[in-house]
Amino acid sequence: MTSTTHSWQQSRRLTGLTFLLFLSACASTPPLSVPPPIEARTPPAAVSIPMPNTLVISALPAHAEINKPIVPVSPATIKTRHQSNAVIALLSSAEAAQQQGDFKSAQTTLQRAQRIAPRDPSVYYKLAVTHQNLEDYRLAEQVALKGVSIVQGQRAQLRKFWLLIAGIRLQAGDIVAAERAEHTAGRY
Amino acid sequence: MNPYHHAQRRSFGFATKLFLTVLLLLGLGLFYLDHHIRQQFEGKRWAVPAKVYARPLELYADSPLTLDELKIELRSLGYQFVQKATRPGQVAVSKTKAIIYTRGFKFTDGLESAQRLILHFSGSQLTKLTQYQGQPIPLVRLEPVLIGGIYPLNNEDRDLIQLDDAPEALIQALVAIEDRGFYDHHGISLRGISRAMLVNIKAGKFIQGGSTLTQQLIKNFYLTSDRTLARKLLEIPMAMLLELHYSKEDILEAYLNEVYLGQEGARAIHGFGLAAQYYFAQPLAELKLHQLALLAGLVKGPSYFEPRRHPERAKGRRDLVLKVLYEQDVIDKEKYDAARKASLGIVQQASLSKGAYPAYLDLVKRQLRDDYPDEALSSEGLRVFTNLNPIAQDKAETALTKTINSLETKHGQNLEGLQGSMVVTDPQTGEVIAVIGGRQTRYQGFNRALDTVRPIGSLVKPAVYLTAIEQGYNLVSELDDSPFELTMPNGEVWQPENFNHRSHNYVQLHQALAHSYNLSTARLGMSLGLDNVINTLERLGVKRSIAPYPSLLLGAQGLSPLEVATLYQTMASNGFQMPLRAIRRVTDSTGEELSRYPFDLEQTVDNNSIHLLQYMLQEVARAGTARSIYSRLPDNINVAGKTGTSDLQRDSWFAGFAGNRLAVVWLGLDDNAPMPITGSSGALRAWTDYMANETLAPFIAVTPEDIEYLWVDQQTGMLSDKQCFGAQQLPFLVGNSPTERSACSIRKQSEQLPAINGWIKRWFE
Repeated sequence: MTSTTHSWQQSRRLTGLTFLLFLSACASTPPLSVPPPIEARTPPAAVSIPMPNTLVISALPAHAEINKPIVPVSPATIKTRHQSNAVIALLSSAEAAQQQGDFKSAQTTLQRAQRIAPRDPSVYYKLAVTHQNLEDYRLAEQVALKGVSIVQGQRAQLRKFWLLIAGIRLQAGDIVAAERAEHTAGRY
Repeated sequence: MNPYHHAQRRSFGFATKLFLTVLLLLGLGLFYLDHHIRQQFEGKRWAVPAKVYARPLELYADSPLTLDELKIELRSLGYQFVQKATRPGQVAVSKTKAIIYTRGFKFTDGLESAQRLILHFSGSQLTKLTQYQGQPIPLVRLEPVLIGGIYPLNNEDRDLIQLDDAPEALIQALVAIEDRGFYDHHGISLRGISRAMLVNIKAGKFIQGGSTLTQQLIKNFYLTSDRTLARKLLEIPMAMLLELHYSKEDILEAYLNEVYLGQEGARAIHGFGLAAQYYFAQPLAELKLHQLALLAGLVKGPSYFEPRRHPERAKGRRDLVLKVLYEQDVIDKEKYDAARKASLGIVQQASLSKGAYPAYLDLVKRQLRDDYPDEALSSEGLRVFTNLNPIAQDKAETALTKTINSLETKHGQNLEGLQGSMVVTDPQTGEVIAVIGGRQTRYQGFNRALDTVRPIGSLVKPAVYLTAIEQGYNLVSELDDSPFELTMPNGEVWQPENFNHRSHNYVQLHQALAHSYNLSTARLGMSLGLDNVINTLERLGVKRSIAPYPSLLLGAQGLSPLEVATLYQTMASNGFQMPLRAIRRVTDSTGEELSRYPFDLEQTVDNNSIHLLQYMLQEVARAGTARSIYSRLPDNINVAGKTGTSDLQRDSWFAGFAGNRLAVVWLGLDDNAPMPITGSSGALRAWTDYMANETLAPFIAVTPEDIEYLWVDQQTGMLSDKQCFGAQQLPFLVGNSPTERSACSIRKQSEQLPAINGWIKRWFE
């Protein structure tokens, strides 16, 4: 790092500190959420001797700079997304192909749907069924598991996917694993 | 015996023998020629290289597509931007609307017919899609951009056309100007030669040549090798032999695809299909009369009449062709006058989509080579449908070259000749959507995205931390960041250092990754066991064998950018390993499917562990070594990633993803010299610049049911409360969270309890 960067950083730190002092003067209650911790890249000179004051100052600007906590995504946010007409059209044409026994065509259409709506559980459900019909049980199960990872927190969906996995395993001849999946489905 | 007679007989005998010998030699020669010319012709006729297509752009309401992005796609497709779209291949654009007349395309899974569409845009979305004067339609695919072919070794480029696809006016113009007797002669035309001489004498200059189209075709077969007098003389018997074996239609079709029509640097432009793209950026079938006349005129001297360099000459030549057509009653006065008045209409820059994506095509070829022999690829007319996204490729190229140029300007000599490469994928599907092999993005040279294997530096760290999580560490587990030495079995001493040469005593696990501390990572990795870390790397998708040296923990292992993309793909897609696919499907020349490369995946990391890792990689971007990202990206776009800098700063890396794009950037010097840049100050800039120009979806990590988010104190890692200063929400596996509480949170809890009691009491009263 060059010395210009240092002085630039220092000046940013000072600005950050001033800003924080200003904020704390205005605020009568402590902030509701505090951003994640930041340690500056330049720690105190002597490592063995803790220098709390220096640490606090060097940490402050980072707080001011990065007031962006990572907000966990609750499953509910995902559930409320609507299906676009494009995806509805593709899903129904995949369904039609499926009914006619044209599984390869269904697979192609579902992958088109997946590119448009990669977080839509119904795409993965139908794709898993297609692979099941194509007797590719390994891939069918993996696609269904991908579905499971997407519908975390949605009990009805989880149940549906685990029952599908049980069916796939049963068809593949692995009764023990099928029972395990059924048991998991039973939890929802 | 009379000695005179004797001598006469001897000389007669000698003459006969000589005559017979010459005849035999001639016969043999002719036989050889015949064999040779047929081989040439058959070879050219049947060697139809595989055509490679980009992904078709899907148009639908509410899709993340801007008008500018649509324009990039349409330019790659050679659409004409006009006031009113009245023919296929045209588009009329206003501020928020586009009217496209599509060309249509026969896909394996259905026909998209040519139609006129109205597209409405607002912000970064295509909001409405309707048929012209019609109903809204849910979904339309544009025709895919043809991005190249797979040619045999001589690497000649072609855009092969069939005789039926060639515009009538082109054939008429060619025959009229080059070989009027084409349909009557047997390869050579004495009448043609004498007529040409007459015309030339009359005009006082050289206007017509005497060579027939057949002779010209033969000449073009040998254009690349030397042109000796003997060759020139051989043209005549060869032309006659060719006519003997093949129909006029066959010869004409070969001619249309073979004739030399221009030069772009080292690349020869052969055939009218490619020439139409090269000069007009349009398919041959869409050219107008004046454009076809120009192409026909170019045959005589592609460099003398080169329309970009010599527009006057070219116009003169074109008008001559038009005049001949008029005089021969092929066109009427009205058409003649209109065509003469038209400007040349040459596009400024040769915008060949073919040849524009050498690095991507290279990847396609390698993935195809596993399933198809070279010969099949270059001769059987296969059609290869790929995942290349020309819009993303365009944006990635702009970002990378811009960053490289600005870094070079800033650092001068120290970074002269800076190189870079990039791989972009769809994190949900594993499809490779863009590849850049070097800063000269159109140069078909060394493909750094696939072939530069460089130490990945800190890009390896997520594998170390994932191993830790799987072994029971949580995000606030305390790590020792003090210096240490390790004596290796061979006596060498390994002494890792932090980037700033300082130690941080004790740090929490998530902080050590966010700030990319080396000492704590190395200590952690050693305690986890190198074999376990290697196992994690393998589960994340690394295929090459990794040597269990401690320096592995800090990224001494070399990987290519594509391999790094595979590694991060698994992290982005919730622990599912996916093969990175460049190809969707391959069909034969009639469109019949030969093979498909479907979405494939295998879960190798469980939902909970990957969620914890994903949190930490988001923290890198929000608060760690990559936090500069948010000076460009909006707050609501969640991204995750990791910076990497190799030993002595020889390599600058960044690998990261949003919801719909994953990109890996590598910067370095080809001679492997140290650089004045790190992962943050180099590769990350190109990555951010690319992402800032993409229409991004945020990365969404849905919280698995066994994960809980708890408030913890930043300094101590103890359980805290939302209202306590320095509290941060972190994810923990249920049952593996910190147990100690901070004083502040105990106080807050006791304050809250009476309140709740009061509320419950009131409710029951």
